[in-house]
Amino acid sequence: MAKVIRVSSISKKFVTYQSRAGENIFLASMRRKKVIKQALDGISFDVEEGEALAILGRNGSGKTTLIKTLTGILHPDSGTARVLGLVPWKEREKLAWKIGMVSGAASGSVMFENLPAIDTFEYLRAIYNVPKRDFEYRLEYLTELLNMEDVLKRQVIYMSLGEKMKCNFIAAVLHMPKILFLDEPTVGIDVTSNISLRNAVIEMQKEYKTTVVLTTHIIDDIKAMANRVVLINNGKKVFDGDKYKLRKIFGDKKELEIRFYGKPHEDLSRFGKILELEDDYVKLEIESTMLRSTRLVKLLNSKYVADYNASDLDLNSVLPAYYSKLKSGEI
Amino acid sequence: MDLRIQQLNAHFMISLKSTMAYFSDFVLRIFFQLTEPIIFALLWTAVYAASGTSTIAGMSLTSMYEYYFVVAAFAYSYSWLGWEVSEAVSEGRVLGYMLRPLGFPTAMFVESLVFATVRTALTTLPILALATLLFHPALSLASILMIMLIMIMSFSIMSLFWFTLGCMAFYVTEIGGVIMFFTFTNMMLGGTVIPLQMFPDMVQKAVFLLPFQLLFYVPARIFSGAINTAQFLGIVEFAIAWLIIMGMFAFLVWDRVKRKINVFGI
Repeated sequence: MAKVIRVSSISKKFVTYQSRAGENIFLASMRRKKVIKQALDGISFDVEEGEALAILGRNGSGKTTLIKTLTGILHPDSGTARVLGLVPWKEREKLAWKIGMVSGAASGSVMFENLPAIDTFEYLRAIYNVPKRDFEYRLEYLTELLNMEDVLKRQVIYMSLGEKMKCNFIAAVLHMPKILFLDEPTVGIDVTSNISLRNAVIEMQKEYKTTVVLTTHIIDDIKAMANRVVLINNGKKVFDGDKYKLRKIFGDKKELEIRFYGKPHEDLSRFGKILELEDDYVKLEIESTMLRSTRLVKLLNSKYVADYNASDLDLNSVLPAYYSKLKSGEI
Repeated sequence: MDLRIQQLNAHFMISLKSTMAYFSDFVLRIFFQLTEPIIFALLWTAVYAASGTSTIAGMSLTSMYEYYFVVAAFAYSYSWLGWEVSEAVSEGRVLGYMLRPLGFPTAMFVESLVFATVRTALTTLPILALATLLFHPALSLASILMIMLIMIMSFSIMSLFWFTLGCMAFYVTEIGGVIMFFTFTNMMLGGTVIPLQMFPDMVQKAVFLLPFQLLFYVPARIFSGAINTAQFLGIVEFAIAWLIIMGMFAFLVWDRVKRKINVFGI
C-alpha cells in the first residue's frame, strides 16, 4: 500500500496569554502572562492509503493542531510532512482539491450561515468543479443517508448543531476527497445520524479507498471507523498501533451498571472496582472476561436485579489512568 | 469557462446572495448614512452665513453642497475589507476559507468587491445621477470613464491596504479600534470631512503624496470638471505606483502572517 501521509518530527509551539486570577479589571488585558504551549513535540508517523487512523488524546494534547498542520492551515516550527506527495503548508491550495475536513468546533463551519444549505453545496460544486450528475447523485445519497432532505432549503443559521455538523460532513465529501480529516465529527449529532455518518465513512473507505484521519473522544467512533490508533500526550506520540493493542494497554475492561430492587444483597467488589454506589444502583469497572463468569451471570439474571448495562469505558476516564501509568514508568 | 473564473464567479454569486439575505437591513444602513452629507451641508451653510463671504478657498456654497453630495456618493463604494478580514479571523471562519482551493485573500477580495458593487449600484450611481440633475456638472463620456477608472484603482489600493491591516487580527485578534482609527484617517485625508484644498499648504503637500485622495477627493473633482486629461494621466501614474507598493506590501505581510495562523483549539 502507498503511504499517503508521511509525518517526520513535526513540532509546533503556540503563544497564548493568561490573565492573573483576581487581577484588576482595567489592568487585566495589559498585565497578561505570556504562556508558550508546546502543541506538537517531534511527532512522526505514516498513514497508508485506505487506512483509518484515530488520533487520541486529552483536550489540549495537540490532536487538532496536528490535523490543521496536515491540512495546510498551520505551519509547523520544525519537521517535515507530505500529504499525497504535497507539503501541506506550502501547497495548501493544491492539496485542498484532494482532501476534505470536518471540524466539530463551532468555528469550523464551512457553510454560509445566511443562506440555505443547498446554496453552499451548489457553490462547492462550482469551486471543486464536480460534474453535475456526480454532484446530484452524491447529494441525494448523503442527504438521504443523514436524513437531511427536509433541511436542505433551510437557512443554516436556523439549524441545530447536529444538522450543521451533518451539512459540514456533506460539504467535506461532495468532491470525493482522497483523504478525509474528521476532527471530532460526531459532536451534537443524534444517535441515528451518528451511525449513518459512520456508515458513510466506512463505505467511502471500502468503495473508494478513502483514507480517514479521525480525532474523537467517543470509543464507539474509534471502534466503528478506525483500524489504527495514535495516542498523543502533550504533543508527543506515546502509542501507535492497531486498536486491539490499545485495548490491551487500557486493560480489556468494561463498565457495568446494575440497578437492583432495593439494596444489593452481596459484596459487589468481588466482581471489580466499584466506581459509584447508591441505594439500589452500582457502577463497576470489571474485566471483560468477568461478563462470562457464572457468578456474575447468575447475579444479573437473579430476581434482585431490575436492569443492567455493560459498556466500554469512557475514554476520558481511561486516558488519565494510562498517562499516570506512563509517568510512573509502569508502562 | 476557465476553472479559476468559474471559482471566482461562484464566490462572487454566493457572496452576493449572502449580502442580500437581509436586504431591508442593508438598505436601512445605507439610508442612515445619507444623514452625513446633510449634516455637512447644514454646517457649511452656517459657516458661510457667519463669515459673510460668498467663497471659501475658491468654493461657493453651491459648489460646497455639490462637493459633499458627490463625496458622500463615492464613500458608499468604500472597501470594508479590514472589518471582513478581522471578523473572519476573530470568529475562526478563516478555517473554512483555508480549506477551499480558492485562498483566503482571494475570497476576501471577492467578498469586499461584492459589498462595494451592491452599494455602488444602490447608492453611488443614483446619488451621482441626482447630483447631475441638481448641479449640472460638465460631464462627458471621458470624465465618466475617468471616474470609473479611478474608482476601480482606488478600491484596489484600499482593499490591499485594508487586507494588510486586517492581517493584524492574526496577531492580536480584535482590531476594531485600529480599523476605526484608520477609517477616520482615510476619510479625513480622502477629503470627506474638509475639501483637501482647504488644508494648510504643508499638510496639503503631504496629503497629496498619499493615496487616500483617490478615494473621494479626486473623483469629486473629476465630476465637477476641475481635472483635465493631462492632470488625470498624472493621477493614473500615481495610482499605479501606489497599487504596486500596496500589492507588494500585502503580499509580503500575508506571506509572513500565514505562518502565524492560529485557529482556536489545539
